[in-house]
Formats: sequence, structure tokens, C-alpha cells
Amino acid sequence: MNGFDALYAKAQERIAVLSSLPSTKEESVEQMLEKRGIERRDFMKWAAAITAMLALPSQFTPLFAQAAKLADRLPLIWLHMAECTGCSESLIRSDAPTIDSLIFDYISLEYHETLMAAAGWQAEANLENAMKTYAGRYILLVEGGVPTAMNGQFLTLGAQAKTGLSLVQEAASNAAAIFSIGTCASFGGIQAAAPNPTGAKGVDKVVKQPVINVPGCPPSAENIVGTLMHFLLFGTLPALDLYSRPKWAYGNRIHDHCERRGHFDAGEFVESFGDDGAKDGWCLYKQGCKGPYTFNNCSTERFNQHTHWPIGAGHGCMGCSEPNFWDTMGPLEKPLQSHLIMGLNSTVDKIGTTLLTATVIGIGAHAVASLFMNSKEEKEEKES
Amino acid sequence: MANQRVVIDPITRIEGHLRIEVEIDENNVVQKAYSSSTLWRGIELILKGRDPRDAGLMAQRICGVCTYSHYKAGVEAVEDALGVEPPYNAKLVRSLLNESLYMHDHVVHFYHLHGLDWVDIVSALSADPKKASELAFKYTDLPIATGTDELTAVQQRVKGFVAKGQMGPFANAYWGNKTYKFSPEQNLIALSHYLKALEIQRVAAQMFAIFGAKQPHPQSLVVGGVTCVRDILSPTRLVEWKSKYEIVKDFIERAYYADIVMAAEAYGTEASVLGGVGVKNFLTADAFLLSHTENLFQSGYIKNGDISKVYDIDEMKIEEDVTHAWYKGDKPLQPYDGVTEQNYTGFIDGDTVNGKAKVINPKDKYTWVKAPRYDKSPMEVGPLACLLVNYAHGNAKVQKEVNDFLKRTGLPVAALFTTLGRTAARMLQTKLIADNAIITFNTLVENIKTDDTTYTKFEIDPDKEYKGRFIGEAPRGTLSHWVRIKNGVIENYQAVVPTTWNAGPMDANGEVGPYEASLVGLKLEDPTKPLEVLRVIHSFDPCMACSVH
Amino acid sequence: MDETQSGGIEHISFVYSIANRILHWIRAIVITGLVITGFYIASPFLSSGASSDELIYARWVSWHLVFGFILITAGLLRIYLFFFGPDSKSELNSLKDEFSLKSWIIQLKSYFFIGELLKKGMYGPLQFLSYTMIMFFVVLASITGLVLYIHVYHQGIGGMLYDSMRLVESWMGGLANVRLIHHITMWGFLIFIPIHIYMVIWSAIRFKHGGVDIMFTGYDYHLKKKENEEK
Ligand code: HEM
Ligand code: HEM
Ligand code: NFV
Ligand code: SF4
Ligand code: SF4
Ligand code: F3S
Ligand SMILES: [Mg+2]
Repeated sequence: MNGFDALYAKAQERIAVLSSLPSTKEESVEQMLEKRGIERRDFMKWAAAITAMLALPSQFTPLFAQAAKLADRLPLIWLHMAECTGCSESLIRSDAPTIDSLIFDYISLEYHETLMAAAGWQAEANLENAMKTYAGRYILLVEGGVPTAMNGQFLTLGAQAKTGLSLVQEAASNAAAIFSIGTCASFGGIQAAAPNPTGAKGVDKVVKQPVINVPGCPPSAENIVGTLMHFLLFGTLPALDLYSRPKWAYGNRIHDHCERRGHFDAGEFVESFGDDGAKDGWCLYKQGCKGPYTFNNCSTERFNQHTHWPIGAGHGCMGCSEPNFWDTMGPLEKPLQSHLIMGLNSTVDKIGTTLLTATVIGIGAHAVASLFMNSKEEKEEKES
Repeated sequence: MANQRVVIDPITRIEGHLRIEVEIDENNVVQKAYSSSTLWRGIELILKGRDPRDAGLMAQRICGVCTYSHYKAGVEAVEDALGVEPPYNAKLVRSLLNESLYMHDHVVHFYHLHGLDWVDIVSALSADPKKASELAFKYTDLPIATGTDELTAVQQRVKGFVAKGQMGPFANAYWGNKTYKFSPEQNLIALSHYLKALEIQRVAAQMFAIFGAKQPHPQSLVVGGVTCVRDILSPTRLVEWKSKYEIVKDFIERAYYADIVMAAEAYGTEASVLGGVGVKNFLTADAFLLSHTENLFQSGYIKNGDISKVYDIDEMKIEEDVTHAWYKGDKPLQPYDGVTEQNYTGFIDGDTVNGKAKVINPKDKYTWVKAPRYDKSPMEVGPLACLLVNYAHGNAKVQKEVNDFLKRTGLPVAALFTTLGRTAARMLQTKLIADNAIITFNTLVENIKTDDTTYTKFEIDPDKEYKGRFIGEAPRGTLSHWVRIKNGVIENYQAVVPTTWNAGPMDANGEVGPYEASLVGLKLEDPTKPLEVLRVIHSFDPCMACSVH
Repeated sequence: MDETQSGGIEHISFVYSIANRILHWIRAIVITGLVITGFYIASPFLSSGASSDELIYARWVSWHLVFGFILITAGLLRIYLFFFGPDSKSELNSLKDEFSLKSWIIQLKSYFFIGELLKKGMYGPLQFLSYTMIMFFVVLASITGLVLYIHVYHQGIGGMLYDSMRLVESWMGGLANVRLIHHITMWGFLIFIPIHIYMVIWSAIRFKHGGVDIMFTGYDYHLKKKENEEK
């Protein structure tokens, strides 16, 4: 069996499993679709788009549509840790004609603090209830880093003031899959930047279960939804890179598909924001673009229904889907060789120049001393 | 009988981690209230020692809801420190982005966060779609998404949820609470707009992204200007912005405005929305550059609800107190010299109406939010403050908009000083912005005919010390960032944020902030289901990630 | 046992095999080339300006890669020769000096004009250390260079090494760190080369033996005067 067939078989198996699960909803998604005036044609179009985005062959489109229809069986729990809610905001930008509300309908969003109607005790009851009812079947999505210093008390939740750390561990223990949404949940994010006052960490560092990272600050709606879709379709984790990022989204560098790449190769660089090069869309490398070191699909997917993206808008990529990018990529608008070594408040080039200068001075001094010593020794030799 | 404690944690449908506690008497009337945010990230400390040019992008991660606010604030605080004047085009684009942001953020807040405090979804199920469709014309001449067929589809869809008892995000809420005042038909109209607004917010985000690169978390500002020069100079992009703007503006006029008029009618006598202004000092800053000669809103503050007099802000009178916040410090500090040093003391065991829980010890520290004060007094900031101060200033646009609304709804000026007023003010502010954003846009178009500069070059002298600040407006109110630069890197960074002003705790003088003051006197229908508290608190549009940072 | 220390007026000793000499000059040339092209890659100071068909930057990168692969090949050969080549024994003998405090003192003193430079192997301890450091930089530049390379060329060597190099990438904490480390190696060379050349010339004068020519002829010699002194 070749790779394609194996994948296809896996997807089919997955659909069989999904259909055998008891439904959480009474009407089928298909019925729901009809009521909402979404025609099968639109739905298939959407399925095809997602299939293409996941870099799967088009034969997967019907399977995909089938899996999506069964998807109402998947309960979702979304937890907020140390975060800014930008990732949730990104999720709600998700589109394809009325697809965001479609997802709203067929994924059972059991807990999401930004969107849910209940609060306080009622909200907590919903969470507990979902973790119990769907034990082993829910998908856990986490937004935000997990503070671990001071026993995690930099974040407490609920009337019993549980720490974020204990809550995420509890929720992880019975999840069917765990997705870290955003760079905060994936790698710690902004709060984990030096000196990381709260000991914030990525989710995978605090739970035992495998975690899929969907980094980006925030990740595009496509990357969040696509990762979910992949799970729906195959019931397994997608192929991941070494940072547990799905390869279909994070397999290439920004630089590899950048619209300004031609200018990079040609050595045509924006020398100063707003100059003629900037007006002509030249490469932003000299303005600190970190596209060559950053794995993400922004250059092809863009944001807000493909409206725009950082490099398109004339600002370099700052590497927002890379681990520790706040620390490794700063200053964000300067090329990497100007990387500020914090604490030392210096750059490699400054240190290098200083050492080189010291070396040259040292050599000079040594050479002068040698001349002096030589003549002295010669003198001594003559004298002896 | 002694007061009883009610703990609500998490407060949902906000940004971030907020706990509200109230003490109620035997009549379920709130005697005291405490507001606590339960997450600290330490971003002010993280900014130290970094390149000042990184301040904007990093500070932006304070919040992804009022995204852009802290980006602009960080960039402009550093510009102020370095003495960099960005070109006119850049200022206009920044203003245009801010206008786009408000048109997004306020719509999402009203429909998706605050809305369910006003709209009983379950009640909408018993509505007659045809009647509802006709009713919609009462609040606007051209309603949106309220045709009989549309309303029927919406109703059927929600019926599905409710029938199954599998209500996802709508589960276990406060449906049927007596303080819900909309008729089934009104609820249905609002529900339809809830769904429509999901679509509109996407368009609003696109409109923002045209000059912002993406939304949330744009990436087109730099110290010295903006980077999106190609978009500014492209007629396609300009017209793209304009057409999306028209769509969003249309929704604001025909749905958002209409729904608030409807709410004013239905809730005009509902006690839980007719209090809710405890701190009667209001402060606001300049915002929304329309042209060289005009800002949409002007800065100033009023005291004790007296709109006959407006005072100018003296920024050196802004201070932050940490008596009841989890930080070290024994006196209020002006933010240039502000200190953020954590000192967590946690909660204590206590009884609540729902049983035992961890509760706030009001004698001790109890929140990560500092308590900003102006000239020692607490201030409310936000859309209501903006409108009141500008009304008092005699800002003609604001006066007209407010007067028209009061006339339309038959409410007195005093009605502004309420929860309902606060929620209406947010809509009116959005409307004013939507109406005037086109002026900024036209000014920009006019200016690029003769001027295509978008960036001012500058140097940072590592041997010099700089300090600077940004004081302006974000969707939730007055935002200021304060920066000191030394050796070419950030020496100190402090953010004093709208929700910090509003959600802050009691200060050393025993004065409480707007959240805590606004809840006193509120009567709860059922203390175990404190919908009224949510309604009041949500009217401020809390953002805790902002408030603590 | 060590030719360099056995007697003979104006004695001549064979130090470097032809392979090592050739390798040395190959490396000398390509390292120089890599530093120059690498510097350009880091901060492109030239730009074509006139035409986008002039792939100036890409051309600098391809020269960098040509030099890079020569360096990698030469580096591998040199490491092989260190252990198994004709000069291997005396080179390995230098290790004895490396771990001997006394040798360190002698060499340091000799550089500060106190006493002669006596060594068991070919190189003194400091010399050995600095050459080891250079080799360390060569290896580091090669590995980090390869990590950068696999993202530019996806087939052939790039494709073959892809998975293993991405592992290295994640050990180093991401591509940005890899690039920074690669950049730091440039400084390693920039600082080493002047010292290296100076010391070659200086010790030739100071200790009255062969200079730059050693690396061409392979032979070192000591002037007669020195022999007298040693007696
Ligand atoms: C002025 C002419 C130079 C002379 C006489 C000279 C001499 C030497 C000697 C004696 C060694 C130790 C032998 C060996 O390890 O093979 C050596 C090593 C080395 N030289 Fe030079 N060198 C010269 C210039 C350069 C230049 C210009 C470079 C580089 C740009 C260079 C790079 C190296 C390197 C990388 C090694 C050490 C690595 C090793 O082979 O273990 N040399 N050189
Ligand atoms: C003496 C050894 C070397 C030196 C001094 C050197 C120096 C540099 C420098 C300074 C850069 C620019 C990095 C920056 O952004 O700061 C660079 C980039 C690079 N080097 Fe090297 N390098 C060396 C060896 C190699 C080797 C052995 C390879 C492997 C084939 C290699 C492949 C690359 C690649 C692929 C890039 C990135 C080019 C791009 O981004 O398009 N280098 N090198
Ligand atoms: N408070 C606040 Fe923000 C706003 N608006 C702030 O600057 O929301 Ni996150
Ligand atoms: S990853 Fe970025 S957008 Fe998402 S929560 Fe963290 S800071 Fe906000
Ligand atoms: S703008 Fe950035 S990603 Fe695009 S080609 Fe230039 S360096 Fe690469
Ligand atoms: S900064 Fe982030 S959004 Fe994309 S272009 Fe770079 S990865
Ligand atoms: Mg602050």
C-alpha cells in the first residue's frame, strides 16, 4: 500500500469511528446546513479549499466533507492562561461564507470564556461537566502560556482559585488531543520573554500528553481551523516538525514564498522605511525582516481572508511563530547581526569589533615590544 | 443578618481573568464590591533593557482585543521621548487605523460580549418572526437582517440548540431572569444581529488590515511613521478600505444604533441598568486626527458629574497607588518613576452564597490591578467619559449626536450617568467615529496628491537619556505609556491602561475605583445567578490583560 | 625523537606533508572568501539597483556556498590527516604539551620574551589550542552553514541532510540562533587571522626559523646562532 492509499484508508477508518460515536446533537449538520441556506455546492467548495490548504490531494475533498459533517460529535474545551486573547480574536475572524458560524454549530464549544454566556459558578460547572461527560473525547485548546513560578499562583481561576497550571494539567489528562493555540501556549510567548517574571512556559512543558503547537502571535484563523480539521479527518496528529508544529502550515520559511524574494536575490533592499525601495516593494531584509528564519505560511495564506500580511504592508516579519522569538530576534526592526544581547546591552558585531580592535592593538604592542626586546637582547649579546 | 459574600470568578465575555466579589445585605442589595484580576504577566519588566523600537510590537501583546492600542501607544511614547515627528501621512493612517479598530471592537463588545446581558436567547424562540420583522422598523427606517425569512431561519437554528439541551457556549446561563426586558420579538431581532455582527466584525477586521497588515496584532507602524506606503499610494487599496468601511458603517447605523434605541426603550425602567455610575469623575484624552486643524475628541476631565466645567489634564498629577494591589510600594508614584514589583498575598478561605470558596480579604492586597488616580481622585475613563467631557467642552459633533439620541429615546441627560448610558455612549462614540472616519480618509487622499512621505529618520544617542509618553484613547478609555531610555535601551516602562483606571482597587485613602463603586446599591434578583452584576461590569467592557499587563 | 629539536647547524626539518600544505592554502583562500561573502550576506552593501534580473545577492550566496563546500571538504580531509596522515604522530604529540602545565608556562613566557619555545610535538600548547579553536570554528561554521543551506537547496545534499540538520537547528534553539552562531564564527576568523599571520611571522623572526615559506616548502630550518645558544 503506498503512502497515499494508507492515508486515505486512515481517513476512512476515522470517519467510521466518528459515525459510530453517539451524536451530541440531534439534527445532522447537513440538515443544519440546509436550514441555514448553505448549499452542498458551497460546502464542497469550502471542503476543497481546506483540503488544498492542508496540502492533501483533491481526492480527499469528499472525505473531508464527510468528516466535517460528522464533526458535531467533537466537543471542544478552550482554556485561557496567560494571554492577550488575540488568538481567540483570530479564531473568530475565520471565514468562508458563514463558515465561522457553521463551526460554531457543528463543533460543540463547551467552554470558551470569551464567548460563553454563563459566568462564575455556572461557567465552572460547564467546564467540569464537559470534562466529565466527554472524558477522553474532547479536544483541549489552550491559549496562553502557563505561569509556573510561585507554584503557578500568578494565574488563578474560579471561586476556588485553582492555579492555571493545575487546571491545564487536569484538563489535559482526559483530552483526546491537545492543541496549543498561539506562540504563548506553544512556547511561552511574550510573558516568557526575558526575564520571564512568572516562569511562563508552553503547555507541552507542563503536561505529559502530546501537544500540537499552532504558534503565531496570533496564528491565522486558517492555521487554527486547519489543524482542527486535520484532526477531524484523520483522528491523528498531523505530521509535525521538531517543535511539534504541523508541517502543512509550518513546513516552509516565510522567505521561501515571500513576494519580495525576487528583490532579495537581486540585492534590492529597502534602505529606510518609506524610501523609493519601500514604494517599489523591495526586500525588507535590511529593515530586520526575520522571514529567512521563520516557519509559517503567512506569505501564502496571509491574514483576514487573505487581505494582507506584515511583509506586504512593508514591515519585516518578526518571527512570531518561532520559539523565544522575542528574545532571539530583537531588535525586531534590525537585521539579525544587530541582535541585542540583553544584559550586556551589546551586539555580536560590537563585541566582535571591540575584540578585533583589541587584537590589533595587542599585535601592535607586541610587535613594538619585540623590536625593543630584540635590540635589547642584541645589546646584551654584544655586551656578554 | 450579616452581609453575605457573592463570588463571581470567572467573569466571562470579557478579555482576561476577572473576579468580582460583592457583599449583599438581607435584601440582596450590594453594600460593598471588590474587583480583582487574577493574572499577572510582568510585561513592564520584560520591556526593560530592550531596544526602544521594539516597545510598540511588544507592548501590543498586552492585548489582542484592543489590539493596536498598545502598539500605537508604545511607538508614540518612544517618538515623544526621542523627539521624532512622524509625517502627516503617517499620523493620518494611524488615526484611520484607530477609527477602524473602534468600529470593530465596539461592535464585537456590544453584540458578542455585552449582548447576552440584554438579550434572552431562549425568549427569542417564542417570538413571531413576522411581528419581529415589522417591529424592527420602529427603531430604524432600514433595518438589517430582520426580514421574516431571515428571522425564521435564525429562530429555527437556535431552536435546534435549545431543544437538544446541548447549547454549547449558551449553556447554563441566566435565561429567563426577570431582569431581561426585551420582548420575544425584540430578542429575536437582537439575536439575528448577534449573528450578523459575526460577519461584520470580519469585514471590519479586513478594513483594518488594509493599512495594518493583519488584525489582531497589526504590523505596519514603526517609530518615525508607518510602513504601509504601498497601500497608501494604491488607489485599489484606498477604495477597498472605503468600501469595507461603508459596510461596517452601514451596520452601525442600521443595527447597532437601532438596537440601542430599542434597549433604551425596553430597559428604560429596569433598575439594574439605571444605576451603575459610582465614580462621577470622568477623564478623556485627545483622539482621532481628522485633519491638521481638527481632532474628533478633545481631552479634559470633569468632576462630580458636573458637566458645566471641564478641566485640563496635568499629566504630572497622574499617579498609581498599590495599597491593595499585589505589588510592593508605600506611596503613589507618577508613572515616569513607576515601579512594578510583585508581592502576592493571595485569597483567604470564606463563606459565600454558593458555599465555601477562596475569597478576597479586603483589608489586604487583593488584585493585580494598580489603582490609578488623577490628583488623588479615581476617574472613570471610556466612551462615556469621552462623550461627557466633550459634551461639556461644547464639542458640536458630540453635542448634536448626544442630543439627537436623547431626543429620540426621550431620556434626560441624567440617564447618561447610568449603566444604560455607558452602553449607549459606546454606541454613540462608534457612530461618531464611523461618521467622521471618512474625513480622515479624505484628508489622507488629499494629502498624498502632493506628499508621499511616510517616515521620519532618527537616531538614538546611547549617551543621552530620554523620557517620553503617549496619552491618548483606546476603545476602553484613556491609555498612557511612559518610557525612559538610557544607554540606548529602555530603562523604565509603565503603562496606565483604561481598565486599570476603571477596575482598580481601593487606594490608601479608602477611595474605590469605578467598578467597585458602580456596584454598590445594585439589587440582585438571585444572588446565585448574578446577571445584574455582569450587566454593570460588562458595560465598562473589561479588559484584564490590559489592566494588569 | 623530534626532528625539530635534534642538532645540526642550519638544520632543516620536514614539518608539513604536501597534503597538509595544499589543504592549508585552500582553506586560507576559501576562509577569506567566506568571510568576505558572509559579510556581504549579513549586510549587503552593494545592490544592483538598476535591474531585478541582476541577482547580485544570490550570486554572493552561491559563491559563499562554493567556498563553503570546499571548506567542508578540506576540513574533513584535514581532520582525517590529523589522525591518520603522515604528520599525525608529531601532531598528536602536541597533545602532551596541551595537557602539561609546564609547557603552557614555557610557551606563554616565550611569547612574552622570556626563554625559548620548547615543545614536544609540532605545536606549543597555546598554538595547538588556537589551531584547535580554528578547527572548532571551521566545524561550527560548516555545521551551521549546512543548517542554513538545507533551507535554500532542497534536493541533493540539502535534501539528504534535511532531517538531521533540522535536528541541529532545534538543538540550537531555532534558525535565528543558528544564523547568529554562524555569524559569530565569522568574527572568530576575523580575529584569528591577524593573530595567526602575525604569530607566524613573529616567531620566525624571534626564534630564527622558517616563516611563511614553511607552508609552501614544508620544511622548517633553524639558524645556526640558535644552536649555539642552546649549548
Ligand atoms: C602568512 C601565511 C600563513 C602561514 C605561514 C600559515 C601557517 C600555518 C601553520 C604553520 C599552521 C599549522 C599547520 C596546520 O595545522 O596545518 C597553520 C594553520 C592554519 N592556518 Fe595558516 N598560515 C598562514 C596564513 C593563513 C591564512 C591567511 C589563513 C586563513 C585565512 C590561515 C588559516 C589557517 C588555519 C585555518 C589553520 C589551522 C587549522 C589546522 O590545519 O589545524 N593561515 N597555518
Ligand atoms: C569560514 C566559514 C564561514 C564564514 C565565516 C561564514 C560566514 C557567513 C556569514 C557572516 C553569513 C551571514 C550570516 C548573517 O546573517 O549574519 C553566512 C551565511 C550563510 N552561510 Fe556561511 N560562512 C562560513 C561557512 C559556511 C559554510 C561551510 C556553509 C555551508 C555550505 C555556509 C553556508 C551559508 C549559508 C547557506 C548562509 C545563508 C545564506 C542566505 O541566507 O541566503 N557558510 N555565512
Ligand atoms: N483597557 C484596555 Fe485595552 C482597550 N481599549 C487598552 O489600552 O483592551 Ni484590551
Ligand atoms: S500568542 Fe500572541 S496573540 Fe496569542 S495570546 Fe499570546 S500574545 Fe496574544
Ligand atoms: S522581505 Fe523578508 S522574507 Fe521577504 S524576501 Fe526579503 S528577507 Fe525574505
Ligand atoms: S511576524 Fe508572524 S505573522 Fe507571519 S510574517 Fe512573520 S510569522
Ligand atoms: Mg502599569
